[in-house]
Formats: sequence, structure tokens, C-alpha cells
Amino acid sequence: MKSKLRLLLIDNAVVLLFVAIIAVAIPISAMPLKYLAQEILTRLGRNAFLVLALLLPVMAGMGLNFGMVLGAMAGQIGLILVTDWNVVGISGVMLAAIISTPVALGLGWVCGQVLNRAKGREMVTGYILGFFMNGIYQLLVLYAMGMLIPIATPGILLSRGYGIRNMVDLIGVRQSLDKLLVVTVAGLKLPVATYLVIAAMCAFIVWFRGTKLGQDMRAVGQDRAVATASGIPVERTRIMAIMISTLLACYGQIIFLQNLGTLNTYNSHEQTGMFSIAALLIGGASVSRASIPNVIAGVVLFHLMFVVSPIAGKNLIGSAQLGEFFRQFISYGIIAVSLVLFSWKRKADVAASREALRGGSAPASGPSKGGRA
Amino acid sequence: MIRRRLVARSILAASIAALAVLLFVRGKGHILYLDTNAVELGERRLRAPELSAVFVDGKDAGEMGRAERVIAEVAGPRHEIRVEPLSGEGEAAARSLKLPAAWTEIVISIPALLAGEADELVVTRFAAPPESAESEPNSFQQDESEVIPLAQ
Amino acid sequence: MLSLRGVGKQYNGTRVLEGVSFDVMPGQIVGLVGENGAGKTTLMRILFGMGVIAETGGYEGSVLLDGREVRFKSPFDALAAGIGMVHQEFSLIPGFTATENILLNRESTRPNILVDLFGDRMSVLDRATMGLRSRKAIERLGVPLDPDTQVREMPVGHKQFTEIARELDREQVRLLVLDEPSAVLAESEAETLLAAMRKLAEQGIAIVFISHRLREVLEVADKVVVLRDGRLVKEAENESLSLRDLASLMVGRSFEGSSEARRPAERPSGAGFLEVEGLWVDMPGETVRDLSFSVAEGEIFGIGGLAGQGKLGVPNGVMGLFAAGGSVRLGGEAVPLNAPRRALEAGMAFVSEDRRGVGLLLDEGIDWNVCFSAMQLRDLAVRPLLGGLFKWRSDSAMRAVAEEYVRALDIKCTSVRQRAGNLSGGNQQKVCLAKAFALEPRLLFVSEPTRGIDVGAKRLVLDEIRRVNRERGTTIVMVSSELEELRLICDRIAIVDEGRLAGILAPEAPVEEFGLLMSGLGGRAAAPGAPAAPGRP
Repeated sequence: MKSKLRLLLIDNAVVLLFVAIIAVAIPISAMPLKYLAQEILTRLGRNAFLVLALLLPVMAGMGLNFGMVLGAMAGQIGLILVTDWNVVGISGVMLAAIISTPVALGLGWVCGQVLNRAKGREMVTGYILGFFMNGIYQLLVLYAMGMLIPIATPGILLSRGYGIRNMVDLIGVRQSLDKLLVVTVAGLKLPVATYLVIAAMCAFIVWFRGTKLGQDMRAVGQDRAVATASGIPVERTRIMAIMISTLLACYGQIIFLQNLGTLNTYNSHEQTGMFSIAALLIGGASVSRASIPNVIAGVVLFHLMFVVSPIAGKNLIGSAQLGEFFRQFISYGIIAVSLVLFSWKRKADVAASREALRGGSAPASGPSKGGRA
Repeated sequence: MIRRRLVARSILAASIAALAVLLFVRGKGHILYLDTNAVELGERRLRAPELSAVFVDGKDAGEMGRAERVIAEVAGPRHEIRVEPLSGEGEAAARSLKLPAAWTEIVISIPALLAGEADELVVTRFAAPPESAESEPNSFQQDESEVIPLAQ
Repeated sequence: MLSLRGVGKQYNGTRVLEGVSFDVMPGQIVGLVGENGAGKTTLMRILFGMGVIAETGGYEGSVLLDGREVRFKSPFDALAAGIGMVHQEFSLIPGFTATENILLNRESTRPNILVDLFGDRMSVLDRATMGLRSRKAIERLGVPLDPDTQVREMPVGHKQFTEIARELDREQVRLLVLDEPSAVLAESEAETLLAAMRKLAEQGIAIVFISHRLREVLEVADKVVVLRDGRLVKEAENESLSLRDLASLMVGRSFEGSSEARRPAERPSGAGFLEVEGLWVDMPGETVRDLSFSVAEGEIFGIGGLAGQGKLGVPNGVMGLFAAGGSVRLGGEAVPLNAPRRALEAGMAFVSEDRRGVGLLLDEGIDWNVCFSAMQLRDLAVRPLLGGLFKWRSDSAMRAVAEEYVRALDIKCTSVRQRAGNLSGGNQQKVCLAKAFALEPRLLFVSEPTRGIDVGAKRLVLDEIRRVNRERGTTIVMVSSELEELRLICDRIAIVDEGRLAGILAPEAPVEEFGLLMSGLGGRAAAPGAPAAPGRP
């Protein structure tokens, strides 16, 4: 029994660590719980979809999809166009989603092709691919838009006549999804429509696992060689995983931005990957295993840290900046620790599986001392 | 087998395209400039009442005198404009106007509406005045929103 | 049902198979026996349509299925024709259940509207039907396998059964090839396996049972086929064979020339110089489970056995190249394991079977290679400076030492500076030997000393080993898969089977004794209730 408890603690070490840190930080920050609760509910709605987008590539054995930023860029392109056309409200959000879809799928396909040629190094490759795509995105948004792509609203163009401004006010679609259905409980406002969308996505992911494609992805994620030998089209399956993930990241970014109401044309997508991955890992996921509870727990914990640390830092040390540094250190340190842990664990697993062969399975002829205890 | 898939996908693509168009039209935000300037039509000169109350889709858009413009923002293709003269001249008029989906800024001529003129004369596209009028407010904004961080 | 006629294969001029012909009837169990290198693996690759065969020039002869010739271009062709193969390494997804593995990529599905839009793979798995199918396959096999257990939690035997069940789920399977299925099984599991095989044969499925466990082969096979050096040396009904016959057929070659080993009276004996107890080594492919033996000082001790049974793990484990446990004593003093340096310091040296990977610095010259280890350990060709604070390497001393060995071993090279990677295999081996000799060890492990070397050089290497033993009194432990060379110069030969010591024989012992030990019988099976005959309790 004791070892079971130990195992439980080790498996969920990260989550428990964060809960402990936050449990200490909240009283230090002296922030009203109601305010915190509202913040978390809002941020859950804003970010959960993005983190959900990371699940499928983990299932397919491709690690954490740093390339999700490509999907975010696609979503932003959609929002820019919709804002230019002045399509407002939920129609604007949906239209942005529709026109970004082919872009996201195309980028996802490219990403999948690249990652297939970098097996074993997907995460780093995705990360660098994000930078590269950022260049293409800027080519599009800073030059083509206004020059090649007609932009009718001068308010979003730079004064030189082409190129999108640094900040685009998304007044038309601001909070359109969130405000669609709001339920107030105990003084807290819940963006129920957004939650429904997130719930629908969770349901989709659960359903997807039960499809042939989902099963193939699981097989590919666990052992590529065995999957290949059994005839599963490994390359195509991996590309599909990335394409779906990119598409979900696109929609997730649209949801994210409609909640914020402002688009930082050249910056909004940059932190998307980092934040989402950090949140997922904090929720207890690993590079090889991630599930929906990890997503929810992760978003809640990560963003609690986000909100609480600066104030706690100020109260504790006298500097909000230090609190912020602390938050960054912890949150991104988590990613580093996770990646190292994953690599180490993989080696340990291989060694452990061979341990099973020691002192071996065979007949009781003579004492089998089998070495170590 | 493949034909079936092709047919199904074509139907899906067509539906999505149709949906996109629908969303565009229904979601299109229009900025209405309710205009009480006098309008010359051939020999006639149409004028708005001295004071009138204007309602857009039932909501009060404001009271207007002559030669004024009031902004109302709406979304979607069809809206009802109602004008009630407050200074005792003439009768109230209400019209359901169809706004062309492609136009963002639209001028609604109140006098023309009251005179019962055709839609094409009531609903006109807003043409922005030449550049000179714009520069001042923008140059203030330039500093912040023009700086694009190219280096990461 | 299946006929092989004159099947042969060569890889780049090396002939691996020649003129193999035999038949397999429906419902017949054929035992295929032979050492590694005898051609079993190649034969199975041909039968199963593996790509490597076609890529290296195809094969000769013909394979007939139901009287018609077939040429499989890929394993999927073979599967479609009804031939299933269960390999030695498991091809299972660890996190999937038995059912999911049995039906891998052939799952039962229910279509839905999304299939029409996005393709077949959007159909949902029909787990109920899947469960029925997997249960049916398991029943055919007649083993206690739980369809819902995850593979990673199964005992090894059940993993084996899952693999077999996967082949059985294919409706059209008629011939099953099992490659060393019982190698990783415990006794009871192996028994279950044999029973399952009989059950399948009763259902009309033919089985080709590849195994080195001769006892099991005789227990269950209707017919036995023995391959040796690429040729079929025997095809006979089970009843007409005995274990001894089989063992000697598998291993024996006519023993030409006399042994050059010492006569029994002259062989060193006495207290163990090298004492190994309870050794286990985690070397992938050559696992040692529990080995104990003792070598006398000045002896040439041979270690033989079939490939993959663990003999190569012994020197690799003792010298610390792979994780190991147990105890090793040299000259009475304990030598720590998992510490190559300590092993070297204790006076042991190792000429590895992995010449290019472990034995040589391929990009360096012969002088570097010969002197390197001795430089680290004995300060060979090194001058201490400033009272030992710095050690300065002497290139001229290195060259001198290297030249000495080049002469002694007749290493063909352009100069002692020639890059080791450019030498021929035989000369590379001599450089490895020289490196070990330069250490002046008390005990020398030599692993596969003449592998990949031409005949003339083989002689020389063996002579050199013997010379070092006779002249310097170096104790030699020689590991080799060529029984002949072991019998040529060793004083005693140990046989390792499935990671354990099967027995120790004198070099002049009859060849079938060696064969018996290699197949898991003989000395060790003298344990309770296991006579060397079929139908044991």
C-alpha cells in the first residue's frame, strides 16, 4: 500500500508541487477569492481550447506540438480579414473560423511533412518551424495585406498604406462568443457558450479515440516499428495528427482573441505555444501522455500562478517584478524538467524491460541468484 | 466508392461556402450615417423637418435638425428606419431598408426617405473625403501602433 | 501444401543457402533445426517475402503453394496467401490490450457519416465484435489468455500467445512459422505452447517450428528438417530420430586434422584463477542469466553455444561493458563489475567481437591503436614530467612498440601510421590482439577471434593466441561460435544455453555431446525428471 501511495505521489509530483506553491501564494497575495475565482473562470474559457489542441500529437507520439503557433497565425489572419470586412458578432467569429480553416490545414500539412522528416526531434523542429512561419506570416501581414490583398479599412493599415498595424481593435467580434450565453452563479459570471464549445471539443476528442484513426494514432504513438509492420500508414497518420492539432490551435486562438478583444498582430501568437504547453505540463501531462483532466487542471493552476505571483511577490519581497520572474522561472522550468524527465524515464523504461529478463524466466535448475535484490 | 466521397465532399464544401456567405451577409456591420441634408432631385428640393426623432430598429437614434448627421451601427441586411417629425411638419414615415452587404459605411438620406423616394436614392454609399482631413488624429496614434517589433 | 525446391541464396558472393528442398503437409508440424548461420533465418525470410531478399538479388529455386509457384514480394503477400509468421522479437503495442494487439490494423468497425466525408478511418471501432473475434482466436489456441489485459502487464508467455493469436485471427491462415517461440518461456509456458501447437495442427494448420530446444522439437514435430551450413542435411520422420542424432547433425562436421590442444595430462588445473559466480549480464541479444564457472591459471578456456544464448555476454559483462551483477574473482581478489577500468587494472584484457565499434579507433593509426590502452593503464610510451604532474606522450616510443607487434603478428600495412579503418578485417583483428598483448594481461578474453577473417589469417590469429598462452602463461578465455576452432586449441569448453551454463566438456568429447548441451539438454537436464527422450512428464 505504501508503495502505491508513493507511486501516486511521484506520478503527480508536478501537479502537487504547483498546488502547494499556489496554496502558499494565495494568502500571501491577500487577493479576494471571489476575484480569483472569476479570473480563473474567464481564463479557463479563454485558454482551454488552445491546450486541448495539444492532446492529439502527444497521443501520436510526436511530443508537445510547438508548431501549434502556425494554427494561431492562421486564426489571426482570419480575424484580420473579418475585422477589415466589418463582420461583427458571433457571425464574425464563425466566419473567421471558416476562412482560417483552409490556411490552418495547409500550414498543418506543411508542419506534418517537416516533422515526419525529423522523427525523434519533433519538438525542437516544431519550435524552429514556428519561427520560420513567423517570417512568412509577417511577409503576408506586413506587406501583402494592403499591397496585394485589398484592405478596405484604413484604420487597421499602417500609415504608409500597406501592412497591418501593430494593434488591431477587434471591436466587432469582441466577446461575441463569451457573451452569447452568460450564466451568473453566486455573483460569478460564466461564459457558458464558450464552455459549451470547449465541452464539445472534449467530447470530440473522446469520441475520436474510439475511431480507427484514433486507434492508429495511439499505436503509432506507442511503437512506430510495430505500427509500420502491421500496415498502419504511419507517415499519413502523423500528418493527420498535426493537421488536426493546427486546426484546433487556429480555432483556439480565435476564441482567445475574441475574449481579449485586441489583436497584437505581431506578438499575440508568439507566447501561445509556450503558455499552452506549460499549462499542459503543469496539469500533470508528460511528453508521452496527456489527457483532458491534465488540460483543465493545467489551465487553472498555470493561470492562478499568473495572477497571484506578482502580487504575492510584491507582498513578500516588495517587488511585483520579482514575483513575475518567479512565475516565469517556475512555469518554464517545468517545461525543461518535463523534457529531461521524459528522456530519462524512457531510458529507464527500456532498462527496466530488460531487467525482466534477468535471473530469468526459465526452469528451476539450480539456484537462481539473479544478482541484485 | 470514391465517387460517393467526392459527392459528399462537394456537398460539404458547398454548404460551408454557403454558410460563409450567409454569415458574411448576416454579420456584416454597417455604419449608418443618418443624414438630414437637403437633397436635390431634378427640380425638387427635399428637406427634412426642422426637428425629427429617428429610430433604427425601434431604438432611439437621436433627435436631428436639418443638415445633420447621426451615426447608428447595425448588423445584418435589413433594418427598419422610422422618422417622426417633431416640429409638426408632415407625417411619420417608416421603411424597411435592405442594405447591400458589401458596403460598410452607408448614408441614409432622411429627406428622401420621408418623400418616399426609391431605395437607391435613400441608401447611398459613403465616400470618404480626400486625405487632408485625416492626418491629424492618425499621426498621434502613429508612434505606438506603427512600431513593429521585427526582432524577437 | 508447401514445397520448397532447390531454394538457395547468396549475399554478395557469400553462399548462405543451397539446394534446400522439403515439403510441408497440411496439419503437419515440421521442426526446423540448425545453428545460426545454418540458413534458417534466410530461409524464413525467403518464405515470408521479406524485402531484404529481393534487394540483395533474389533467390534461386522455387517455393510452391498447393502445387503452384509463388513469389512473394512483401510480407503482406505472404499473409494474403495464408502464411503467418511469429518472430522472435515481439511485435506488440505495450499499452494495448490483447484484443487490440490481436486485431491490430484489422479492427472491426462501424461506419458513420463521417466516413463518406473524410475517409475510412473515421469509422468507430466496434469493440464488441472485436472482443468476439479475439476470443475466438484465443480459443483456437486453447490457452488461458485474458483478452482485456494490457500487453505490458502480461507474462512473457502470454505475449507469445497474443502474437500467435494475431496470426490465427487471419481467416485464411494455413501455415504458421514460429521462430524460437519457446526461447523466452518458462517450462510450464512452453508446455502450454506445445499443447497449443498440437491443437492448431489438429485444425489443419501446418506449422514450421524453428527451435534449438531439440527435446521440444522431438516432442511435438511430425517431421524434422536439419540445416547446416546452408544445406539440408536431414529430413526425417520424428520416430526415426533420437536426440543424439539430431544434436550431432546440427553441430557436427567431420573433424579434420588433429586437435592442437594439450593432452589431458598437461592441461592446467588447480585452484580457480578466474572464478565467476552467479553472473548476470544485460546485453541486448546475448543476455546472461545465471552463470558460474572457474578457470585455472594458464588454461585456454573456451565458451561456446548458439548465437543469442549468452556466450558473448560473458566477457562483455565481466569487463564492464554492459550492466552486470554477480561476483568475479581473479587470483583470489574480487574484481568489481560495471567498471571497465577496474577490470583492466586487475590484469584482464578483452579483444571484443565488435572490432570496429569497441576494438579500434578507426580514424587513428596503428601505433595509436596498439598503444592506447596500455598508455592509459601502464604508462606505456609515456614520460612523466615535473614529478608526475604531467605525462608526456612519446610518439617515437609508440611507433617502436607498434612496429614490434607488426612484425610479430605479420600485420600487413603501409606503415604503423596507417589508419586502422583502412586495414583488412584480418589485419584489424591482429591490431586488436596487439593492443591486448601490449597490456600484458594476466587473463585475456578473446571474443569471436576469427570472425570475418580469411582462412590464412585465421590460422595465424589462433596460433598467436596459443603462443601467448604457452610462452607468457596468459590465461585465455575464448568465446566463439565456431565449435571447431574451440576444439582446436582449448583445454576445456563450456557451453552456454539460454543464459546459463549447460555444461563443460573436454575438446575431444564427441560432437553430439556439444550439440546436446547447446540444445538445452545433457548435463543440466540431469535435473529432476527430465530424461533426454520425448514424452517427459
